[in-house]
Amino acid sequence: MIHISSVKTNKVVNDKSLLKICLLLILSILSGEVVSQRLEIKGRVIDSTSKTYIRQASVNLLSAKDSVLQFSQRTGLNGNFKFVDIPPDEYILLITFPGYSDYAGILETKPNNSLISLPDIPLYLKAKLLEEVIVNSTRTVLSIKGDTSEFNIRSLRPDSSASIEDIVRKLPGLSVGKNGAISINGQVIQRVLVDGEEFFSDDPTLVTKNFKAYLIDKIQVYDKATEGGSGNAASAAKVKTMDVKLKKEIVSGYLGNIETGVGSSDLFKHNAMLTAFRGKRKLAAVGSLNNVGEVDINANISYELGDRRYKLLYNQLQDWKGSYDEEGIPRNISGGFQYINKFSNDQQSVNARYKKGRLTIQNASSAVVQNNLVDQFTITQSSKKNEHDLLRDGYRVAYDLSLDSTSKLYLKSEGVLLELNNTEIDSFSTVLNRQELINRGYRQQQVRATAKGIYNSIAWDKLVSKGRAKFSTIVSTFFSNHDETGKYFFSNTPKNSVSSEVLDQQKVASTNNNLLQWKTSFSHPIGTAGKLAYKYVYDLFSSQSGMSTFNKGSGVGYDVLDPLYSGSYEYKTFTHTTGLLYSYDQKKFSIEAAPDVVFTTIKQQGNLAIPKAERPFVYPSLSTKVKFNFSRNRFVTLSYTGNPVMPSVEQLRPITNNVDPLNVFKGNSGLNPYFTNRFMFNYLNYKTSFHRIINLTASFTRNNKAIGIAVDTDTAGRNIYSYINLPKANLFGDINLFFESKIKSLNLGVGMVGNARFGQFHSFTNARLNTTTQFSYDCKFIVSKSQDAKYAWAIAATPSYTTIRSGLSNIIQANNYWGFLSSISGDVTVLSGLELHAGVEYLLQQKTASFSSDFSRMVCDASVKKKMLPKKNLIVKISVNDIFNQKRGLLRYAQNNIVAQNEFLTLSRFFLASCIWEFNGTKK
Amino acid sequence: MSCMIHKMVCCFLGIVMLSSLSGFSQSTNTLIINAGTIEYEKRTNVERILDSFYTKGGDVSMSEFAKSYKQKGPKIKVSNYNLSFDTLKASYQLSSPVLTGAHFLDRLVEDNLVETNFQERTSLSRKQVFENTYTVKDSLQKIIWKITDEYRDIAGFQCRRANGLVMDSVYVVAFYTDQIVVRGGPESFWGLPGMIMGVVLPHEYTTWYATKVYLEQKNFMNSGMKENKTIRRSDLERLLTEMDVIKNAGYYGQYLYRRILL
Repeated sequence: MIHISSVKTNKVVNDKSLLKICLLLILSILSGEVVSQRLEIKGRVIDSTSKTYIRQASVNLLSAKDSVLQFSQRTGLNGNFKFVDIPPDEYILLITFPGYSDYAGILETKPNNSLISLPDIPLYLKAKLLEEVIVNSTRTVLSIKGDTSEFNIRSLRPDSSASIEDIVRKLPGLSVGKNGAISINGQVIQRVLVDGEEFFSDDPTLVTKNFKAYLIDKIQVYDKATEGGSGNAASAAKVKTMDVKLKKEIVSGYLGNIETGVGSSDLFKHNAMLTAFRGKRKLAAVGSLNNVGEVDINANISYELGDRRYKLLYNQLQDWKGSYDEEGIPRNISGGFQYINKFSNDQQSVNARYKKGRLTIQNASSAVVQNNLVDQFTITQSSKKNEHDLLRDGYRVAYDLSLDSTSKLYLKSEGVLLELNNTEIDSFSTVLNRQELINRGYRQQQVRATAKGIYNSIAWDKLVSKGRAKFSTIVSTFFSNHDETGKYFFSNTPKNSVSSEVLDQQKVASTNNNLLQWKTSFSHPIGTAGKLAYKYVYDLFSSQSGMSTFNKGSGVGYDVLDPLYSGSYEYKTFTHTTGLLYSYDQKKFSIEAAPDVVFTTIKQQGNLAIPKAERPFVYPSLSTKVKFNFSRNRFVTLSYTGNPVMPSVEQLRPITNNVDPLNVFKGNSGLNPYFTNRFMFNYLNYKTSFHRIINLTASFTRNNKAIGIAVDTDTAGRNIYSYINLPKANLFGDINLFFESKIKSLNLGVGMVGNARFGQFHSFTNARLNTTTQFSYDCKFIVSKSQDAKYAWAIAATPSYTTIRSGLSNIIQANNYWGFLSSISGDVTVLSGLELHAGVEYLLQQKTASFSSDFSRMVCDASVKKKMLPKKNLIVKISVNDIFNQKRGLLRYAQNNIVAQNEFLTLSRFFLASCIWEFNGTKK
Repeated sequence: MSCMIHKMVCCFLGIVMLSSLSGFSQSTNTLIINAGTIEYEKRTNVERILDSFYTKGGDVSMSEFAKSYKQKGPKIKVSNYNLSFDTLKASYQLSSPVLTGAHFLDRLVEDNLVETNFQERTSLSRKQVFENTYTVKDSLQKIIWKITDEYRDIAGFQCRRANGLVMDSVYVVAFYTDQIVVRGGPESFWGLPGMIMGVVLPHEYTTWYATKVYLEQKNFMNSGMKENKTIRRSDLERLLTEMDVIKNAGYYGQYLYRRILL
């Protein structure tokens, strides 16, 4: 297939003429009745600089759909060409001449004008072009095939030192964010595969930062249904996935790098990576040790097993989520192996991974939390010092075996072990209505927790009736075990009191969860374009948990059991789901509908004051999707899903958690499942000839009888939280508009990402319903320009506006504020191999009714990079982060009846000098 | 201090943006070739062909034959051809004697001679079928070509890859250069926007690659083929399908049929 990437030529001068060509062609398309009419196409080929005619240039018409050569001729004495008797169709006009860059453009001819006379087509000398932009043509680098966006990397002919990340920056619709996270049309890609196989996929940047682009044939991006949804594609959770396809002709090779760096104030960064592959065998090892904030961007996903369906809780009594998002000073050490192979004519395949790591975060923070009550409000100020130390260990093995040509067996096993140590000291004080101090004191906590999780599955697929119908069945199990021991010290002086109340306790908690799922489905075609599947799923989930609280006795240890905060709890659900999936797929139109019926029984018992209960529920569940394809690169998708959501064990468990006596949590064993409805809309239009992508997505979610929080706050500022089925629905909506285009005459990339979000959620505050309505809008504008191996710059500005209105209290005004984020970055290569980089980021958050000062910061960074050795594979880099030492961590958020601001420690100014050695080799 | 650094950063960003405005021009002269001679080297992997006779065709006796052949060799048979051409006509013929060893294959197709008339879009070709020689005159063979974005240097010419389909079923890969105007190639391959410098028949284990290009025409049009004793391609097809050796020899027969007609 030809990819019109060769239109490097469409820069500066000929863009106008190309535009003319396009306009002319579009005009000539307008209406056509006489199908059989033949066309005449003529034009002239000239040299871009001398404007002289090019004689004997090869002018070709290829079918746009398959690149088949239809007509070919050479230009005459005056550089002119003329095709006669051409049937109307969509053609690629390909003009080549030795020493010049190819010209390629789409000719969409339709019969109404029997003569198409093109303006002069300039060709560019390659010698000249090398000085100009090589990779500027995003034209048919991208092709959209159904739900897959395919980027042809081969056609860009990247140089040997460029990584996937470098090349991705130049691809239409793709962008690289902070930490190297890649987005497509504004949505973050969560998973990266190599040749369709998992490859350290919990850290997508590992592949994108380390793999060299010249090894890559193409990159595909699509929504991959998670394994749990294989029988019910429409309702399955989907993950944005990038599949990196290596060049087939590269039989074996290796690539890797070693980086070592030291910086100011005891900072360091050491990384090593090695991948070797031969045929279908791939082996990789990675190691990283740093305290400059480079942490797996999806670190928390490691705790999710079974294709991310099962979460491993590592911290039951507190709220740290195990991830690092610039909060605190991190230290990370991690390493792992991955092995992939296929044997005996691809009948067997193995994919195994082992990873181990340790993340330590030290943080000091201060928070202001405004809690809106009935006609009054409290403001709690606190300052906190804490340290998280998390050790994690995980493996994943998948083995596939083709039993014969029609059946296949899939085995999978995953396991994670987590060990967490948490220490925390904080002091707090609360003021009522900005007048009266109602409490002050301090807390001290020390927690040790261990969590283990194992997921196993066995699946079998069988094709029947000559491969037209498919039977598949999967049995999966998930076991998890969690043990936690914590010491909690709390001292508080309530209002009008001189003495303080003290709580000194130890808690021992453990939870065991078991899950068994059996899922079976049968699908067969109906007619030529339809397909029908039947499915049945059986889920058995059981959970046993217990918590014992000990107060300090007369002795040294904690030996007095406190029955108020101790207890055990057992919870079981049995779920049968039966349903259908119908899909109908045509060129212009496709539809998917999956109605299900869900029968669930919840059983619970414990030694607490809850009766033995068995509650059955029956729910319908439906997911549908309709897609209209207007053309290959333009479609609209509408979808709806509605399904019940079970309450979590944590929400149900009636054991009271008084780890923080000012914020006590209590489960509610009477919770019912709630029903969620979600509507989605997506419009995508990719215009090759204008380098333009428009992607509009919108979604609206309504959670009926959603589970919310009820809080009771007493006059001393103590909060007791419990869960409740809300009488009003929670509503969420968002609209996202992504636009990207290129001003070809200036070779300028322009883009816009606009977001509007809406949320209306409820909670109870002292038995009164509190409605919080939040709107937030932001819009990012981007202008960028780059030239390979010379320079690149980008300017982005993001204004945002947020309104938060709490409908409970009329003392407090709504919190409305503006925010502004802008950034400028520039890269330039001054001498061969010497690269300079500088960037500025400015953030402003306006003061609000709750927060009386504006927050602004400007963070600048700069680096110098020198590439050495003939292959440019030894890189010495000196960088400065946050030159003006202005960086402060800040987070403002609103939740239920709370508006909060958290300021925390974050990495600010530092210098880092590092040395990177990259090595790679291939054999064709 | 910080103010100065700030200025430096701004200054730097300014330089980066300015540097995007530069660029200079250059020019080259390119030779376009309208006539000349190309030497092709044809390489056939005999062992792989012999293997295919029994793996694809299931003819067990062939496996014995292949085994005995492999002991003698050669593994790869090399022969050389010349293509003399101008914009109107081209003639393709054997230039060096055939290496013996795979005689049973040689006799059929190695001595082929092709004369192409680009103006009339016809070709005159001599086909050796066992002991008989036929002269076929017909319009140029229809080949569907898909142009790709892959390039390769052959005999000093930058060539572009095209994937083709001949006789509706035979997959062929060709590399052509637009520096030679003539739309011909080795054997009866033709039809790309320039001269075909390399041909690969992946399923027949055979390649043709240009090794030298001369600007003068050698041995042009002295093949001695008689235009008056010709048959059409369809006649030859019918003749072949009626031959026992082709009809009944399984994959070997199919192979012969394709190679004679190509």
